[in-house]
Amino acid sequence: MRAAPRLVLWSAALALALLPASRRLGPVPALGPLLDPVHGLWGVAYTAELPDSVAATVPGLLGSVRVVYDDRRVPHVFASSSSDLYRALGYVVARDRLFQMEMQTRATAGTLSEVGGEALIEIDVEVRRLGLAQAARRDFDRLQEDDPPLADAMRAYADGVNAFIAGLSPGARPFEHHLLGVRPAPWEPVHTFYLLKRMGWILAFAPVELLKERVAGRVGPEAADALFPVDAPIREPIVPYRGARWVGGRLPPPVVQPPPAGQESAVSTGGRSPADGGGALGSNSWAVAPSRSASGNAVLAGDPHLSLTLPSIWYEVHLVVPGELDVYGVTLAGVPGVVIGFNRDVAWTFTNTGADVLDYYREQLDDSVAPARYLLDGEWTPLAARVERFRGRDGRVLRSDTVRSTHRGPLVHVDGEPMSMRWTVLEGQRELRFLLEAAKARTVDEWLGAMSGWHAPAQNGLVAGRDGSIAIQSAGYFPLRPAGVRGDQVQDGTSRASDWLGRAARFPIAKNPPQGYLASANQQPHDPEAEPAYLGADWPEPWRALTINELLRGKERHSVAEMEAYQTYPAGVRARVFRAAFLTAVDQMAARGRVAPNVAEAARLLEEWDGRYDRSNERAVLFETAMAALEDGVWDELADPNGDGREVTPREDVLWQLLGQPDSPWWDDRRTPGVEDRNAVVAEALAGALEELRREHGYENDGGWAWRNFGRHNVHHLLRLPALSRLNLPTASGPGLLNPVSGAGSHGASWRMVVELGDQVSARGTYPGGQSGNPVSREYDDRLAHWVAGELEELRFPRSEAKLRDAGHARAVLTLAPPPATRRREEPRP
Amino acid sequence: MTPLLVGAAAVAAGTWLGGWVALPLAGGVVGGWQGWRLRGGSVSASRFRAPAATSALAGVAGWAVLLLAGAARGPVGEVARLAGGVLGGLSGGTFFALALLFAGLLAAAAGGVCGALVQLAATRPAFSSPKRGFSSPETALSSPETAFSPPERGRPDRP
Repeated sequence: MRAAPRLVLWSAALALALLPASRRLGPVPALGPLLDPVHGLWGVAYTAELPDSVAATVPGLLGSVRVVYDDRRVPHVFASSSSDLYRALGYVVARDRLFQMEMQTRATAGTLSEVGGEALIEIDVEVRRLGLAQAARRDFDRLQEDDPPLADAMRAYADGVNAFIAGLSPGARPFEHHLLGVRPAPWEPVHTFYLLKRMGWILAFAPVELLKERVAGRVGPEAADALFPVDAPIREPIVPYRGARWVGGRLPPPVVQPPPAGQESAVSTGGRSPADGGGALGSNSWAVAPSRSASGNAVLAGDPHLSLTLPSIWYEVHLVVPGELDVYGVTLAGVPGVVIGFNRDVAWTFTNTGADVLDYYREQLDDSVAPARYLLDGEWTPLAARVERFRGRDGRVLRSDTVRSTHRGPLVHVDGEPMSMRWTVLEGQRELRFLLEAAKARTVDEWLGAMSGWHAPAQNGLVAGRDGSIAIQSAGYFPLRPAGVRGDQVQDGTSRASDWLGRAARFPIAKNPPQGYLASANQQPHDPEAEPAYLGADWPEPWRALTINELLRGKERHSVAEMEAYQTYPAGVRARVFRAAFLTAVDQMAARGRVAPNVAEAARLLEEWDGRYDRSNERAVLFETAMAALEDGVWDELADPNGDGREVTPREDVLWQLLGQPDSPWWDDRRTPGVEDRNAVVAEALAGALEELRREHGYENDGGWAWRNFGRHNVHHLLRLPALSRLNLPTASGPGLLNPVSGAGSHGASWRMVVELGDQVSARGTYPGGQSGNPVSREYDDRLAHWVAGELEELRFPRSEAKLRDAGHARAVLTLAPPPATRRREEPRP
Repeated sequence: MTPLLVGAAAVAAGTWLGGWVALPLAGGVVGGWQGWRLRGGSVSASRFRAPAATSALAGVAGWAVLLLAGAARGPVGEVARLAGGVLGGLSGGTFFALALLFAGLLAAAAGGVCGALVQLAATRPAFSSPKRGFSSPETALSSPETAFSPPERGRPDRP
């Protein structure tokens, strides 16, 4: 071939080769930078394991900081000042979790589309309409005047993160940055507040009034109130009152109305898997006083439940400033301090309170398309407005959105109706101050005092001290509403008379109760008989609270090993209650002489069940399938008009109430011509469950019914990439257990910890993941096996670096120092 | 072998210092050099020595050396396995092969362009050299196959 045609052909080939080399093509990242053997993805391999000893510089440090990693890759940070500690912590966390930090920030700021493209824009739109980032910036601006030292702490942390980013070679960028083809973004001090706002969104965004309105539209307001009661029908409050009380009460009949056409579901349950009932989510905590512990020391156990991700939401650290701070625990990647943990004197943990801290107000606007004013006390009042622009990967604006707000908060549209919302998470943010102070507490009272100003999200803080004290308080901004204004109903927005009056002066608290222990599982903090003030209306089902209390009451003294085992105890009150209800109903049918053979067969198999959810158990699945069928049969009034599932499923303690009313009209399945009662629905559920299981999983003793096939957890990578996720982990978990599992299996105990507060604090813990965010590292998921097995690991809490070395637990050292120029400046002048 | 070895070294060094962008540049230089060695001639009967082929092999060899060197510093194979899994369930070996294939293709394309450019320039009178056809003595001596091979095996055309 002649040279000219060859030139044309090769030029075309070069152009074609350069295109995928330099540009992302759909989901495939630009191949050039990705595959580059030095600066590309391969560099991730070089940072997978910690070098034995390494040094780095961090601007702003006053002195050298030693970071000693132990054999579980937990950094023990020894600094000579708080300021240096925060810098070092920022550096250390970024070293292991940089991508996670950026994603959390983007998820709150609504800028995911800038790295993930247009597919993520709806998530960004939703979060920007809430205004979490604006609220965080307001809080940070205020903080610089109100609490400059705290603002300085956040800046120091940001300096540490940014020092790590500045020293990062292109190849050493996190794996995910390579895949997305983006550079790590700098960390701003306000991003810490972004993260805390995001936690508020996760834990305290519960629009119960919208749910109740929807249900009221289907079955009438009285029935909606009964299905979603303000006060739980089964009571085992956090603040001890009179033990467990099964109050119950008769449910008013439904006033069935046709479902509104074309409306989207507020909450769609879709299909229900066997492991998808009983309040699958929640957190647990309990503490026993010395009088109830085997060792005679106070012991605290905690396992906060959150969405399970890789990398994990938590990161373990030990922070030491001699004479000032010596705290061990878990931090959120982006927070300059320990959130849950212990020091030499106290240990603490949290469960979510679930209080009603979000209200909706129905507004009247001057224009339905482009409103500028809203009606307030008879006057048209200007709406605040801002324009949000959403950009794609290339920086191009993909969409704009005008976000409006009233004096209460953001204006949103619910089923086409304009509503404003007031939400404590958008107001004030000094939780970091309380966390930092609490970490220094020497007594339980000091800890309670430090946490008493907590704002949002409201938390049940459980604390135990070396002096043997135990206490719990549900702290947060609990809105004080005008008389007659119910937090669980949408309010009239045209009048200021609906507005909050301020913050409730009292909150639930208990210290050193006579029973010798305290426990929380997100249940209603007070028994309403003892304290009728409204705190919320969306309390999780009581099964975990009942089970914890039953375990703790069942034995005079509890060892650390027993408390560790309780966290994954594979049986619970829920199963016992409903199993008995099933069998009682069948017994009644038998007494009347009308039990179909398949119902009797299902009942016989259910009777064989010991109520446990061990992985090898072959009867738990029958119970759960029957429970799902029972709910399908009874809650037909709430069937989703747009799908196969239900629009919403009432609480299971309400179902328990109903089981005591065999002739209630709720039992009638309106989809059938006849009129069913409780026994008919129970029989149908049992027979249907047996048939379904045999059809889909074989006969009961063939192995297909083993619970390991159903009770599974899924720990997804942050980008939900299967190759980086750990899926279908068989766990001894189940609905309503202390180790609960949801249908998707993507929630669970995000951290488990048991601390004994003796002369020497001893602690054990683990979480589902590993310290490193690098998927190539062996510490990416090294704790997962322990977590699945329900085992905790010993946490190293040395008093000095030498002690850690002497014990043979030191593995690697990172020495952080100020840049040479700074060091010279700080040298004393002659 | 000389262009190939020098090219592989150039690709490796260029990538080390300047990143993947150095790959087509080095490939182009190797291709141009090879084209210059073969200036004015047809390489149709000796495809393995064509500028593009030499550049491709240099690209593959250069990146293979870098990846092997990387394997001594960390679990490069694990990176390949994970990346392959993320990008559509490929095996680690396939991902490695993809990386080398990418290097080969990019270098080949650049080498082909530069080789053709040099040969094109060499065939034009304005740029022709009195010694055209024999190239440099160095080429003639170091590459006897080119200089003395019969025309039917791809000997350079002569005017």
